Amino acid sequence: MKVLAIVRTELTRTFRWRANIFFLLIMPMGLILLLGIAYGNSNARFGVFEKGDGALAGQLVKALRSEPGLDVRGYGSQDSMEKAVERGYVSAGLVIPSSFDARIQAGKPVALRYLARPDSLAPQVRIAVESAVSAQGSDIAAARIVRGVQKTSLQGALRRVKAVDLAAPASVELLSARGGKYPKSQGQFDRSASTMLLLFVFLSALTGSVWLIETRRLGVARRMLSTPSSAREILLGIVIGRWVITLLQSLSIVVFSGLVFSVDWGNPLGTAAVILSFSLVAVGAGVLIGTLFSSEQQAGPVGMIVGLTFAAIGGSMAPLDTFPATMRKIAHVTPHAWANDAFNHLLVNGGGLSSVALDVAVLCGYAVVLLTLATWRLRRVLTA
Amino acid sequence: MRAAFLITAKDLRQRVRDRSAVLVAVVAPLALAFALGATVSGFSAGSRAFTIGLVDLDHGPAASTLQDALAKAGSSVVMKDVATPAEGRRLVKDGELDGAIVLPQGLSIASMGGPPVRIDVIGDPKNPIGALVGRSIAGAFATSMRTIQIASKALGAGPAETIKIVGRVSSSSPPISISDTSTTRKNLDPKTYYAAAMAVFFLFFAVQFGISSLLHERADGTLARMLAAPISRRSILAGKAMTSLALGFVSMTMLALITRYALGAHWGNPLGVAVLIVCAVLAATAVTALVTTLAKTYEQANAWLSIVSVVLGMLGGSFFPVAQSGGVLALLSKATPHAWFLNGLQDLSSGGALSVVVEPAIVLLAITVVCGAVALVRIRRLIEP
Repeated sequence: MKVLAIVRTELTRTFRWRANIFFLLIMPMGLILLLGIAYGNSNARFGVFEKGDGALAGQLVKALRSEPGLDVRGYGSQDSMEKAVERGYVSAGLVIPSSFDARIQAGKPVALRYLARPDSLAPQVRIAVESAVSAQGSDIAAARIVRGVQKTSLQGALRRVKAVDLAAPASVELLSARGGKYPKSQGQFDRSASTMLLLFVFLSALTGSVWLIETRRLGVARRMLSTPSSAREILLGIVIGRWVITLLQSLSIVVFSGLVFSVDWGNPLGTAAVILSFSLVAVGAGVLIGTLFSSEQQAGPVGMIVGLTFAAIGGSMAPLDTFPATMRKIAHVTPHAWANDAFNHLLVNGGGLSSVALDVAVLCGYAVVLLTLATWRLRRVLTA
Repeated sequence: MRAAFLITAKDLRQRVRDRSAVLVAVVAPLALAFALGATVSGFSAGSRAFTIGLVDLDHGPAASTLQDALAKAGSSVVMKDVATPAEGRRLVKDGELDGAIVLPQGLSIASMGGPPVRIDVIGDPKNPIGALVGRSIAGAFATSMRTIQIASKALGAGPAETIKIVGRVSSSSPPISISDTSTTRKNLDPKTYYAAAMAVFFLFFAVQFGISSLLHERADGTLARMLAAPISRRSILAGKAMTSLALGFVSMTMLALITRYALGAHWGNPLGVAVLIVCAVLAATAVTALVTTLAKTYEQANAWLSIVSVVLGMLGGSFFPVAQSGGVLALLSKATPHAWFLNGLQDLSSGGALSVVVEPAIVLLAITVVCGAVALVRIRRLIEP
């Protein structure tokens, strides 16, 4: 019972401070949204600047927009598009001249300027642009062949071509390698949700060490010790209190991201195992930091540095599979890397509890070591 | 003025002694700049050749026509023969192929006017660009089949003549052509980007030790004591503002130098960098002062300042280049000092003339003037006895 009372005190103290709701919940959700929008898909980003507003030019842009894997962004001027290409916001950009419609209708050749960024996906995107352009130019290309054979005017040839009624000799169907039709869109927020959950659970547990120092500074710990409660009960209360806060935070991120961004959290058992073990690691690290420093001004920044650095190294900012090979090995010093691997098994490959057994075991190992160290230190600083 | 300097010196000594200033202004940004610079390899996917599998169930001339067409596309795509569609699916799923094209039985006959066929393209939703490339290659091939057939129908030509027409089609230039222009690259490499982004992100935390400590001094009663001494309110304010500015300048300058020489970051023209740093420090101090005057207690100010700094940092591109995503986010990003500082550096480090910093500097100074003016009007309230 005494343990529960201490847990309740911890919760009250945390949530009475309203700003904590921002840090624990609103900020992670905001970043999930931001990262989801910015990097949610791995499509190629491509810019288009339409000088005129002809119907044919519009058709071409529409065809490009419907391509899977291509994010088409319209620009208002060639200058702004060129800047976007230079800065790498898009891999390449296409300029459709104002004479586009008129020239095509007259059967005259049109040249589209393709601004390509060196060392980018520009050559691959160009293949898609060429394909869309050739589809639009198909009739004219056919008319030119007719003109070449029969020596008629291009307009006459074009009229004859247009009169031909032909079913397309070959259609193209895109299938998914994972079975079935190729999905129109995929969970844009799935990846950012799991990585941000890990980043913020760990970060808030670490910056939460400030509360532990306040517990000592305000004499809450001394008063607790003066009551007939054992040090063991107090330690347990503090650690469980921090764990409950961390779990509440994880649960709200899972529920809200599921409701608001329709994030699919995969196998519930597997996800629960990862979150439970990872949050224990976070609590252990947080309590340990809270016992290693004596002022809030020190513990706060240290918590932030360790929390953000571990997240960066552990693949919660940039995905692990984009790391250089050596960095990927180094990454597995952090618990984040193991948890990110686990989420990858669960959310991308659709694995179950068994697929994350190793990762969860490693996380439990971290938790045991950190919690042992943390409670040992905590007993010393509280009873000293 | 002497009093102001004394206050600044006291503040700086206090912050250096409890190490909090060193942690926030130097250690934190360095640690993160290093971690992010080492792990983020680039913001936009770099160039590489894509490998597309080709499953030829047709065993006719169509496959070689497709191969020839691709050879023209240059080195950006490599074709690889694959025995069966199932094999293709497996290789795509395992990431060994970026996509696979299945040429169906009867494709060559269809190209001569036979019954229509369907070309399957296998793509992995995890690799949408691979799927795009595969689909585009197949699509362009299907289009060329259509072009030839329409022409031959319009001419009323038979299969034999159609073959001749095929030769003609591959030699004539397309009616809509694409002319390439290579652009320059004006973005910071991840190392430099994160050195600068973390410096400006933590700048907003570092300057908090000055202005917002007014609230702390008030709560502790040291402010009342200062006011009782023969010190003008203006001196107290100036002292606090100088603490913010001094911490900001020292932090940014140290970070620029350390990342330049220890991490190999390319900041660009030192004079331009100095201008940007001065303007960014001023803007950060003004924003911090404004938020401080809105709070009632030290705790409140602390919380609001952290929220404002984190939100501005997130939107301003301190953790990843937000402007890249376009749309509303890119617009919101422009409202942050962070974005202007980073954009200025971006233009500067890609070899831009010194004049490229003028626009970001003016915007940063405008932010300083607006926030600073409001803060000055409101801050009197804080230093009343």
